[in-house]
Order: sequence, then C-alpha cells, then structure tokens
Amino acid sequence: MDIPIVENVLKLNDEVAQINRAKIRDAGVFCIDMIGSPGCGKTALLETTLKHLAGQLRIGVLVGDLTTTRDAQRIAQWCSDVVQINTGKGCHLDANQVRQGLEQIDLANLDILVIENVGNLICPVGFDLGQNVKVGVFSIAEGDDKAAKHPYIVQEAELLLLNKMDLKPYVSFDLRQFREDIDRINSDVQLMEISATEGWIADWVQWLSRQVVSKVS
Amino acid sequence: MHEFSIATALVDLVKQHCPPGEKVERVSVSAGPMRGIEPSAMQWAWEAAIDETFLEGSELDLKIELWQMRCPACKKIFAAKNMFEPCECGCETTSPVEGNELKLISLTLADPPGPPENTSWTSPLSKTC
Ligand SMILES: Nc1nc2c(ncn2[C@@H]2O[C@H](COP(=O)(O)OP(=O)(O)O)[C@@H](O)[C@H]2O)c(=O)[nH]1
Ligand SMILES: [Mg+2]
Ligand SMILES: [Zn+2]
Ligand SMILES: [Zn+2]
Repeated sequence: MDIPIVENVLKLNDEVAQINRAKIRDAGVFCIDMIGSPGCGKTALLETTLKHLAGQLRIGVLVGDLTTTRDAQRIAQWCSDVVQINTGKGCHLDANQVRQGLEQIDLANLDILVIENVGNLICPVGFDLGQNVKVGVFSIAEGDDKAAKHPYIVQEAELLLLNKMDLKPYVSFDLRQFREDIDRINSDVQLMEISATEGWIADWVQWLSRQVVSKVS
Repeated sequence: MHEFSIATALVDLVKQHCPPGEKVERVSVSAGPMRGIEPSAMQWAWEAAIDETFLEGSELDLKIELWQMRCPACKKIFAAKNMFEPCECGCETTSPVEGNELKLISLTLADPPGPPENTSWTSPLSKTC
C-alpha cells in the first residue's frame, strides 16, 4: 500500500527555524546566515566589520565550526557577544544548534546577529536557521567558476560578497564571467567586491547599516 | 556529507507518518538538482541512518529531478541534464528555474501477512496536520 505524503524532508528543522525566527524578530534583531567555503574569509570579514562598526552597531556572532574555538577567540577580541557552536562531524549548522546558541546570547543587546556557518558552499544552504537573509561569501582565490558550480547559494542569497580583491593582480579571475553566471542564476542578487584584510568593506558596511535602519523604521 | 543529515531528518519525518506497527518497504523522495545530492552517498547515508531503527531493511527510492532551464530568447522552459544547457533555438544564456525541492513523496507499506485483524486504523493523513 502506498501512502502519499509530499512534504518537505527538512520540515522538522524548518519548524525549529521558525521558532528562532520569531525570537529574533521579537528582539528587533537582523540576522544573517553567512555561508562560504573554508578559508574564503568569513571570520576575517567579521573581525574587520566588528572593528569598523564598534560603537555604532551592536553585533553578535554565532560561529559554527567542526572542532576548534579559534574563530570564536579571534572574534572575541572585538565583540563580547560571541558563541561557538561545535558541530563535531556536521558539515553545516541546523536550526536546533542555533536554538541552543541563541540561549547563550542576549538578543536584547544587539542590532545584528551574524551566524558564521560551517565552511561549505552546498549543504548549509538547505538548512533554514531562522535568519532574515543568507549572505554568500566567495573569494577570488577560489576561481571564477565557483558561482556556476554552487548555484544553490547563488539562488538563495540576498547578497554575495567576493572577497580577497586585493589579490586581483596575482590570480587569474574573470570577473565578467563570474558576474554573468550569477546573473543567470539569480538576477536579483547583489554582488559586492571586498577585501576583508585590507578593510575594503565600505559597501558591505553601508548595506548592513541599511538593513538595521529598515528594520527599525 | 549533508546526505547523512538529510537521511536522519527523513527517518524522523517518516516516523511521524508511519502507522504504528506497520512495516515500511520503501520511502520515496524527490530532490531538485540544486540540492547537490549525490545518489550513492545518499544510499550509503540511508543505510547508516536506518540501522537499528524501525526502518531497518527499508529501501530508499531517490529521484533526482532534471534541471528546468528557461531560455531568455524564445522563453521556452525545457528539462536538461546539466545546468546552463543551451536552448534548441541556439541561445546559450539559459537560466535555471527553481530546482531546490527536497520532498518526501510517499511511503510504501509491506502487505500484511493475512487478512487484517484490525481495520479500525485511520491514516494520520486523514487528521488535520
Ligand atoms: N589577501 C587576503 N587574505 C584574506 C582576506 N580575507 C581573509 N584572508 C585570509 O584567508 C585566510 C582564511 O580566512 P578566514 O577568515 O579564517 O576564513 P573562513 O574560513 O572563511 O573563516 C586567512 O589566512 C585570512 O587572513 C582578504 O581579503 N585578502
Ligand atoms: Mg571561520
Ligand atoms: Zn552539511
Ligand atoms: Zn530558446
């Protein structure tokens, strides 16, 4: 006998994500799920951003990592609201891990919560955490084919960052091709060129501030 | 290995839908190509996830859907094996449409050995959920 069902496989995760979303919304916080390959510069970008916005925007960070607390330590130099979530073998964060992480953070103190997902461009995309938006991070050191090879993050992201632009003179990277691939997959997504370590993040910082303002108004 | 998380999520979801005491023979799942699910990794993950659970011995029937590409020139939407496949009309700049679904489609239950003794069971699907 066949029982027809037709239901999202990750339904149970998505239900917990909705609980997170309500909690984040009620606290008036804007929440970003930051997704990118290992080494693309997610933590470096957070460090530079926190330094830059100190005293202006209150930013908290949940950082997912397989084992170490190194990223959390790096971020803690600039921010007191940082919680490390060790996923063990898990290659992405799920809504339940974020729910537990949220219990250790005082959302009332924050304007923005950034969740640094586990370095991986594929599976974190499918797991709703309760964020407002997903931001995808690429770097030019990874090659210009990475958007076309990871269409899911391109499709789902509200904003894409192309990091390590300071390395432009040293790597061959066809920006026109990269932009064209992105445009074909998601013509609505914005792409910003940045360098986390050089502090070329003006567009990104402006975007962040705009999100907070539009949240308040 | 997101296949393993998907497999464990699937086991939990099937548990919600399976009538008590029934044996599930097959679990049918449909996945869009955006999801990047590798069929052999998924089969392996399924075997690992159902080990020593009520689903032990059940089979996973996974269907990876084709890409649906939209042609900006002739507006046709066509099924394709690969993303960015050119259109018949010659246009090379096709775009993928959706493709991110991941759905439990149905459960196939094993036939009971004899005539059913208890016919008062109602499907959980008949309740509002
Ligand atoms: N040249 C250059 N290196 C960068 C930039 N951003 C990050 N890195 C370096 O890339 C490496 C990985 O960065 P990290 O922030 O740990 O990446 P994550 O794994 O995405 O968190 C580190 O050695 C960083 O210093 C950048 O904009 N330019
Ligand atoms: Mg990191
Ligand atoms: Zn994963
Ligand atoms: Zn065409």
